[in-house]
Amino acid sequence: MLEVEDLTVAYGEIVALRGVSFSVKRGEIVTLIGGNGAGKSTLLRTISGMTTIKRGSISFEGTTTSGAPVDRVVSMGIAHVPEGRRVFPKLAVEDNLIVGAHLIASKAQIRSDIEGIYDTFPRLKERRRQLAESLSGGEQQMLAIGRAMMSRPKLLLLDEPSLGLAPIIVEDVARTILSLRKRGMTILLVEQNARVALAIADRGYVIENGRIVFSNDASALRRDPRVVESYLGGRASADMGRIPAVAS
Amino acid sequence: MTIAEMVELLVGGLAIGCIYSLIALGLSIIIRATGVLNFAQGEVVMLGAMFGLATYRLVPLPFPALFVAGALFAGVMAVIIELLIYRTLRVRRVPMVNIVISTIAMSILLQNGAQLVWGSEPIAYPRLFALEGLQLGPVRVAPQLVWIVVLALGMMLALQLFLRFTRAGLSVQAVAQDPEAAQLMGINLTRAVASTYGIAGILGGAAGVLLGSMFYASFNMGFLPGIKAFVAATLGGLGSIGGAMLGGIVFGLIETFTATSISTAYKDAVGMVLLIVILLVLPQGFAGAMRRGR
Ligand SMILES: Nc1ncnc2c1ncn2[C@@H]1O[C@H](COP(=O)(O)OP(=O)(O)OP(=O)(O)O)[C@@H](O)[C@H]1O
Ligand SMILES: [Mg+2]
Repeated sequence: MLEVEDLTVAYGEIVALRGVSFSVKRGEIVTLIGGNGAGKSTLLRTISGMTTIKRGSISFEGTTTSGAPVDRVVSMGIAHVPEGRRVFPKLAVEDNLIVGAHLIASKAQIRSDIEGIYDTFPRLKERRRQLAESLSGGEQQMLAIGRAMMSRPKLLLLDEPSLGLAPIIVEDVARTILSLRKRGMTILLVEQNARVALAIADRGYVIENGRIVFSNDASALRRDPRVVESYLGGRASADMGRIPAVAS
Repeated sequence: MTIAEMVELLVGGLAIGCIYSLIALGLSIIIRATGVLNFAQGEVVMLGAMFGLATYRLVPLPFPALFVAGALFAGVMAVIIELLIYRTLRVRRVPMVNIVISTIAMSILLQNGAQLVWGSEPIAYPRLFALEGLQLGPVRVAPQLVWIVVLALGMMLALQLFLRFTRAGLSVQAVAQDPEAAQLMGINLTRAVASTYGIAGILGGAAGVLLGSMFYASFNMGFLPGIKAFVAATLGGLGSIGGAMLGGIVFGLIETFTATSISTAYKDAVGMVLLIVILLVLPQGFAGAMRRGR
């Protein structure tokens, strides 16, 4: 569904991505894990058309998207939940959702999609008239995901949805991602929190210093000593006990 | 001062204040959406006044129709200027200061252009209102002032309704709050910023027709009101919508009352003294003071 090939991106002198290649197939949850400054956000921003590409190409459902403006990419069916949630703080929860449906023409469709989001996230329905800034971090993350869903995407890009959330809320988010996939969504999840990401993903790539250093099925990565050492705090399976609970 | 004179002054101050509010609102939404202090906003006001007048000479329409014509023309001009000049600068990623300076250049250019087209002499607006004052109990009020207040407040109400209850208005707000996130929703920033300038232009042009009808139209009529609207917007809290409305009205009232109680000659100076004082004691304006109070 998504093919990224030999992608190189630089901010002036700083090279953020160096020849990155990977793919996401329909219905998959694919994760990219990496530490601070590895280039994860840059990658998602580049897929969305927010940065300029130095070399390489991106295609979505067989169509080249590299070089297309952001609104074009969104209309092709890619929605991006940015790092730090970035909800519109001074708009009400429901108005955030309405803005998320910017490219949807039919009012009736928007109405029914909003009801769908409220079914998934009852908390948002309770707070529909509140300003987004008054929500808790977890609720804001739900709103950011709901807002992205309003464009009726085929592929959802999630940038560190667990950032700054308590472990129990992170599990909520993980469950949400799994339920979205169950309903046919394809997801590219970027995370520093490898534990959660590998628990829900089908496949994973590890990115360091703007390069993909290795990739495998998520279950294999969970046991890979390099991953355990660098991203799971050196403690292997004992700590992974909770994960199947999330996955079920 | 008798009560009647007092009320008359109050209505006069309110009328000029509403005009400042309209200009200040335009400044505020542009600041919110782009961070630019638009020094050419006063000239957009002038264009509205001039076009309202030109329309009247072509077809002597009633005042509300001139008001709409002037507002729309100014809106279109503002969009053209934004797309042609400011956007080009933004695309080239020039520093913000340069864009602000380009608005000063635009201000001077538009004044010179208007001088070329309409001459240097002030042009009187036609008498569009009954001279007979409206008798409200013991108080007599000029119908013109009532018209100005009603049209200006109607315009402000329309803006509020647009921003809050239409999808386009919500998008304009989203762009002001987080342009990058707004872009990820599929909002085209070029179009959103151009419509913001368009709305500011409509507000400014509307103010121009009102201002012109109160005094006269001339190539440099917008300059000082443009600056005063900055004071008004700062008074309300730069970038705040409610603050701009309130700031304009408060500034208009202060100016009107100081003009009568001190001297008309120093009316403009009083406004500028006020600006310095606000910056010293209330740097966030009314909006900031209210936030702190909460
Ligand atoms: N706007 C920018 N200008 C210059 N350099 C940037 C910019 N954004 C990112 N970088 C640099 O590019 C590299 C990759 O940054 P990126 O934000 O993609 O990393 P990340 O993996 O998302 O990190 P984090 O986990 O901290 O969010 C870093 O070295 C960063 O300093
Ligand atoms: Mg990041």
